[in-house]
Parts: sequence; structure tokens; C-alpha cells
Amino acid sequence: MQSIDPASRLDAEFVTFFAGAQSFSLDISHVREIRRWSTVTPLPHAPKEVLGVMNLRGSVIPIYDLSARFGLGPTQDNPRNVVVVATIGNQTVGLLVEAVSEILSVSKSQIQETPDIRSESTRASITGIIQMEEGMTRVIDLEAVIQCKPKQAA
Amino acid sequence: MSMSMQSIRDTFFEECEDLLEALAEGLARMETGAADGECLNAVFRAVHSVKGGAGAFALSDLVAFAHRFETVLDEIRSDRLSLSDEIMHVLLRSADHLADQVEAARQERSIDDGITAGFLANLDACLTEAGFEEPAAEEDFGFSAITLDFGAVPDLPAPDLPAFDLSVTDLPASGLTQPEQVALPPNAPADASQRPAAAMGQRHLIRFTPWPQLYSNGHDPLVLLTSLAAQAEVDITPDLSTLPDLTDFDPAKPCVSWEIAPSEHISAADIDAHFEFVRGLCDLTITPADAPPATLDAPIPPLLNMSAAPVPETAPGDGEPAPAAAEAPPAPQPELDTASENAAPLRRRAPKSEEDAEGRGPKPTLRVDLERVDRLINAVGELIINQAMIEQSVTDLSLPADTEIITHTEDYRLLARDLQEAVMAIRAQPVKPLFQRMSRIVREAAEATGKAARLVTYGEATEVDKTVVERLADPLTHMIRNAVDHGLESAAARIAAGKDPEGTIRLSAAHRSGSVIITISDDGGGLDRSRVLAKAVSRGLVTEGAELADAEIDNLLFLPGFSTAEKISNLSGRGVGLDVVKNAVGALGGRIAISSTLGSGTEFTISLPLTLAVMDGMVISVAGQTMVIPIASVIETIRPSAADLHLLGTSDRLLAIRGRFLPMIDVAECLGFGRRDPAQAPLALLVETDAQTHCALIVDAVLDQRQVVIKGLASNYGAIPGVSAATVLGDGQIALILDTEALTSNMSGLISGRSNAGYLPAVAAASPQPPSPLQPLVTRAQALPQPQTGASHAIH
Repeated sequence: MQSIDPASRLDAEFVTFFAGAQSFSLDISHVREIRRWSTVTPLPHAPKEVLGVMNLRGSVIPIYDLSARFGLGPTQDNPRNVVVVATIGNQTVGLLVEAVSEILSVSKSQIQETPDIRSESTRASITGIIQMEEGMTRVIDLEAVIQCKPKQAA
Repeated sequence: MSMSMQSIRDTFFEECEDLLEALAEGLARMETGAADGECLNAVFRAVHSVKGGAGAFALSDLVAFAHRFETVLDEIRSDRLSLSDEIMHVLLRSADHLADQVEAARQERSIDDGITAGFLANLDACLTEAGFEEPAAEEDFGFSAITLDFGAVPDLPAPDLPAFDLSVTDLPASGLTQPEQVALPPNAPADASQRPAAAMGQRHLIRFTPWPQLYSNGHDPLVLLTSLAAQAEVDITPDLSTLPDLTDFDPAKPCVSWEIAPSEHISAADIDAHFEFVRGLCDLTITPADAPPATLDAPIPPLLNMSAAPVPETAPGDGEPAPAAAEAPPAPQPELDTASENAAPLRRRAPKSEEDAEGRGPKPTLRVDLERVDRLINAVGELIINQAMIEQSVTDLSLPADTEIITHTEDYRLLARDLQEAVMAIRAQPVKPLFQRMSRIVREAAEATGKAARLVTYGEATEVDKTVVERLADPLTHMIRNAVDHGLESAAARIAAGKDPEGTIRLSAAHRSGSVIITISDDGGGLDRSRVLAKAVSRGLVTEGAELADAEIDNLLFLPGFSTAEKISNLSGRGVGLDVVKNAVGALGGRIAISSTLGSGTEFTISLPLTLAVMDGMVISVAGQTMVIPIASVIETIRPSAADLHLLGTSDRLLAIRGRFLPMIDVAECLGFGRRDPAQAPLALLVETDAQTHCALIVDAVLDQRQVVIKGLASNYGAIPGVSAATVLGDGQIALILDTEALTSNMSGLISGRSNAGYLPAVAAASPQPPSPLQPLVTRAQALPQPQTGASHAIH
């Protein structure tokens, strides 16, 4: 039996998905479920990547447009679009993506550091890169991705 | 006994909380002079019960103190000691100390003997005044311990009564052939076999008939009688005449009553006090002994056909109280009643005002884990949403109105609503206990600062969510201490100012437009604004020479680390002050405001949401979005005609209504959803603002009125200005709940710039509707009056 703590594990599993025609991935321990897209209720004073809030069995969860979040333009309406419901700490959020592609098992050593890139916000939200057969996938830092929300209360 | 000692102990401390609360309440009533005998009795009972329970756990300090306390109360009860202000003060402080002792005992700490000794000395002083001398007999006040611990009854010989056994063969051996004397040591005399009625002079005859509840509450007649015997020499005779035929015998029903004849003088009140704990659980008649001994000669009720052959019943000595199931009070009551009329006895029963009629005891309550209640509340919340969804689906089917399913869904709706209300009521609690605790804070603070202060409370019955009540305790304590320490002037200064030397702290609670308003005010000197400002400057909180309005200076008090106390008192002035209070109130979704008038006092107003889970809402439509506005904040809805709309300056619009002009706020624009379609006739919702002025919110339409379950946004997202929470509508969609106070406070400029200038550009980008140049009356007049936000909005 291996330890379940993801930090001490040598290998890791990622859910990979497409947003803005790019491949991103998220540690599977954060992913709770994948849901069909349904209408959201827009929030006032929200940044453009926050599409609004959705009802997930009685809890109100904000939906982030991952493509818009990485500056790749808003996700186009498409019946294939799905919401990746992810949790971090006590927070539950949804990430709108174009499609979920696969679950990737890699060893930790296969995760490369994010190279120096110019966009500060992108670099802050991508923790690493994993090489795949066709290209690569970007490992997102969920906490950084959703940090654009307004923290302060009026 | 299956409960462990620890859990009994826990129960004791839980009960102590209630008892101490009752004590505080009773004392408060005594203080106002509104106390009657029953109130005094309630106070006495509370202390007595604490003492009794404490005895069982060998908390000797607590017992000793409670006993002395009780003695003083008894002196007052018997009019040997008049209730002066000083005595009242001693009583109040003693109640505080008793609470401390209970708390210390709970934490298994011990309180410094010196402190207790001080309180004891005060109580003794009262007793001296009453000319009271403690009789030696009363030194043995440990009887309560016996109540719960059979092993502690010393020297108890095996009672004559054998262990109860239904086996018929045992009956002749029981020895119960005579009217049985239960000779009770230590004081039962050797000649106890005399018929009490014959032996008695001008004494009292007690008849004690336990009801089933007495046993089910865990009392035991043996213990009661033993301890009575310890107080005075008594003859105790069981009356077995009411024993039913063995075939009719119900083991759960008590059948035996006892005749108690003290062979020395013991006052009726003492006897009565002795049965304090079982009041309402038994029939107790106390008749002067020279009255006809009706109880003995009473004809045997007809249901008994075996009167001559006594059958051992659940005897007192067998330690097996009858189970709880039985209901009928024992038979001999009618005879007793007749006798009572003749002899004009002192007949005591549970007072009906406090306890349920017919002695069923206090309203039964149940202590439940808060977590369980919350789980229930959540589930019911989901049920309400589900109910709305089903209703919507049924409506969508467009079935004829008399279809069964429509009736069923209607019933479902009503049931769900009932259920929700019932569940929410579990969480609602009056603020009374909280307020009561504050009177102690005032007393202590007054004592520590050498000021005279009293607390006046209003609206104690106001019900608030339990969480709110609990989390308010600390902030309120803080503010009350502040009010005494900083708010009130010294007595000398008050006299010089022509005020009553005793300061008044006023604490009130009231419901107002969906919130609970709690105000804490003092009649002290008010804020010295120049001193506040000077302090703020010296602390570097404000730059030197800054011009601040009065309200801004007042609000400096809420800044972290601000304290104006010239010297650090041990009460307040540690620099952790109002900012902590403000945070605590903010965490509950509330607001705090301060107002002060130099020379006449300071007032803090806390406004809090009524409940954290549900509210009545008006479903409205704003910029194509469905939203909810708390119905309590809407005074009326108006569809204004164009002639009612007026411009003020270039951007502010006013609504003329019945000769008054009210500012108008476009909700859509406030929320950054762009301006409303000017072609659509506006609908104005009149709301009350924080400052109790009115203001008109412009929306597109009112769709519905309904109860909504409040879903927090903050945990998964964050606070949004103008939006207090969200809810789920019948179609499963989320609707935002508007925060009218935040929306309207933009008008008065109290919340500076909504502190969201940082992401306003994003709002502009997200605005779906392009600005429309049509109808200047509507479109041009939309900018917010707030300079900062107004400017940024005016751009697009």
C-alpha cells in the first residue's frame, strides 16, 4: 500500500482537458466530477473569466472560463463543453473547458518546471508542463487560477 | 445505571446553566421590585437545586457557598430580612460567584478560597442583619448527595420491607401485617410504633403520595423520608390501603402513600421546603395534627377489595423506583380534598404559572447537537428547492386545475413550508440569556472602575438565530465594558454635570426590516472628538492636519489598535477593542455604527441578519436576470409615470411620490449589468436605507414573492458588493439576493467607493448591453452619486 498523500507519491494522475484549443491538466485529487454545461447566473462586478454561478445540488459554485482566464478568448458555445467541478480546501469551483480528453498517469519526474515566459499571470497559474505523445499539457495551479476573484468585502 | 458518572456530571452542568439562568432572571425581577413570592421561590429553588446537584459530586465549596446563599434567600423569603439595595447587590454578586464556582467546577479548577470567603462574608453580613443564627442541625446539609447515592446513606438498617417480589409465596413472609412503621434513623425514636394521630399534639401531619412522575424523575421516597427523619424526629407510616388486588396490580403505578407525623415541632414551611424537589410530582398535604386525621380514616376506595391483606408494593427500601409509564394519580385524592377543606391545610402543588398544569412538570426539552439541527435545516432547504422544482414541472404540464397531482403538489408546498418554519424555529433563540449575562458584566465593570452603573434592557424576547446569539456574546461583553469604562463619567463628574450619579447602560434588541438591531448606549459624556482625533494622529492612523467629519472621527474608533484610554485599566484599554467587535459583527453579516453626542452619551448600533438560512423574498427581474430582494426591506412598489421622474443636477434622478422627492438607484447599473432598457417602464421599489430615509430602487419587474433559502456566496467565491447571498429558484437556477443596504448606502456615501474600483474595468467589459443614447431622462441620470464610482461609470 502506497501512501495516499499526493505530495509524497512518486507518480501522479492528472485530468487533461482542452481550453482555448490548448491542453491543460489538473491533479485528479482536486477533481470532484465532470458535468454538462448548464446556464449560469452572472455575477455583478465579476472579472470576465468568471461566468457566473451554477447550482450544484444546492450549493452555489462559481464557474470560471479557463480559456478566458488564460487570455485565450472566451470559450465558444458548444454542446461538447463541460464543467470540471474541482475542490480546493473548502472551496468548490467549476472550470468551463471545451472537452475533457484523458486521465494521465505520470511519475513526478516527468513534470517539468514552467519555463520563463513573459505573462506573469500565466506563469503564476501554471505549475509545470508534462510532455505527451502529441505535444504537451499545462498543469494548472487551481488556487492561482481562481485567485482573481474579489477577495475584499465592501 | 448505564450512564457513566461523567455523563451524569455533564448533565448536571447543563442543568446548572438553566438554573443559573433562572436565578439571574429571578434576581433581575427582584431588583426591579416586581418580585412576588413565587419569584423568590424560583430563585431559592435554583440555588437549592445547584446545591443539591453539587452535593452529589462532592463539590464541597460549591455546596457550602450555595447553602449560605440559600440561607440568606430563605431569610428574605420568610420576611426576616428586608430586601435593601445593599442586600440585592450582595445577592447579585453572589449569583455571579455561584456561576463562577459552577464554571470552575466544570473545568475542575478551584477558585481561590479568599474570593469565596469574601462573598461568604458578605452573605454573613446579611444574616447578621437578619439576626440569624445558623442552627447546628443545618450544618448537615449533605442530604442532596444522598439523593443520588444510596451508598452514602449511613447506618441505614435493612428496611422492614423486603425486596419486591411478585412471587405469591413470598407474601406471607413479608411481615407487612400491621400498618407498617418504617423506623428511620438516625432520629427515629424507639416508640415510633405509636399511631401518629394519637401521639401528636399541635403538630403537623403530612401525607405524601408520590405520583408516577416522581419515580420517573429519579426521585426516591426513601431518600426523601430519610432526610426528613434526619431533620426532625418523625413517625412515618406507609398507607397500604390503596394497594390494588394482585390481579390488578400494575408495577408501574405507585400505590403507597405515607403518613408522616413529626414528633417535635417542625414548621409547615420546613416540611414544605423539604419536598421542594418533588413538588409537582406528588400529592403533599400538610394538615395541623389536631384536625381530623382524615387520611387515616378515609374510606378505602371501592376498587380495593383486598384492603385487609397488605401486599408489599414497590417498597421504598428496594431501591427500584417504578418505571415511568403510569399516568393516573393515586386513588385517595378525593378523600384528601375533602379533608383539606375541613382542616384548611397548607396544600402545595406546583405553581401553574411556571410549570405545566396538573403537575406534569416543566415543559420537556431536549438537548440536541447543533450539528444535527443544521443537517436537518440543510436537508429541509434542499426539500424546499426540490418542492419548487416539482411545482414548476407540474405547472409546465398545463394540466387542468382539478387534476389530482396539482392538489398534491399544493399540499406538498404547504407541508414543506410548515416543515421549514418548524425547523427554523429550532434555531431561533431569544436574546434574553445573552442580555442577562450582560448585567453581570455591568456589575463587574462598575465595581472595577468604581463607577455606579445599571443596565436597562429592552426587547429581550427578540429571537435571533442561535449562532448569532452565541457569537454576539464576546462583542457585546466588550462593548458593555467599554461603555462603563470609557463611556460613563465618574460619579463626581456626573454630579457636576447634573446627572444621576448612577450611569445607565441601555441594551436593546428589536426587529427591523429583516434584521435585528441591537443598540448599546450609555448616558455618559459622549465622544471627545478632539481627543479621538489627536490620538489617531499620534498613532499615525490619520495624517496631521486632516480635516475629518464628525462621523469619520467616530469611525476611527473601529480602527485596529485604537484606544483612547488614558491609562490602561484592567478592564478595557488594552488596544484590542472595537476593531475586534467590528470584525465579529462583520463575520455575522452585520454592521456596526456609532453615534455620539457630547455630554449626553454614545450609542452603538449593530444590525444583524435575522437568520442565516431563510428569508421572505420578492423575486424581481433586473437586466434580464432574476434576482431576489428581501421583502422586509421593500416598503412599497410603485410604477412611476414619466412625470414623476425628475433630474437633479446632471446625473441624479429623483422620484416624486406624494409630494416627496426620493433618490433613485438603478439596480442594473449598480451591479454593473449595464443600463436598463429605457423603453421599458421602470418599476420602483421603495426601500428604507440605513439612515432610515427612503430611496427608490429601479428594477424591471416583480415576478413573485416566496421564501428563499439563503446560500452563501462567500465560501466558494467571495463577497460581492450589493449582493448579500444567493438562492436556488424553482427551475434550479441561481438567483442573487440583493443587499439593499449596500445598494442604498452608495447614496449616503458611507461605504466609500464600494472598495471595488480595482475591478470596475472588468465590469465595463462584462456589461452585455451597449450604452443607449435614447431617452436622456432615463439614461443620463444613472451615474451613481458616489464620486469615485460615479466617475468610472460615467465613462461608458
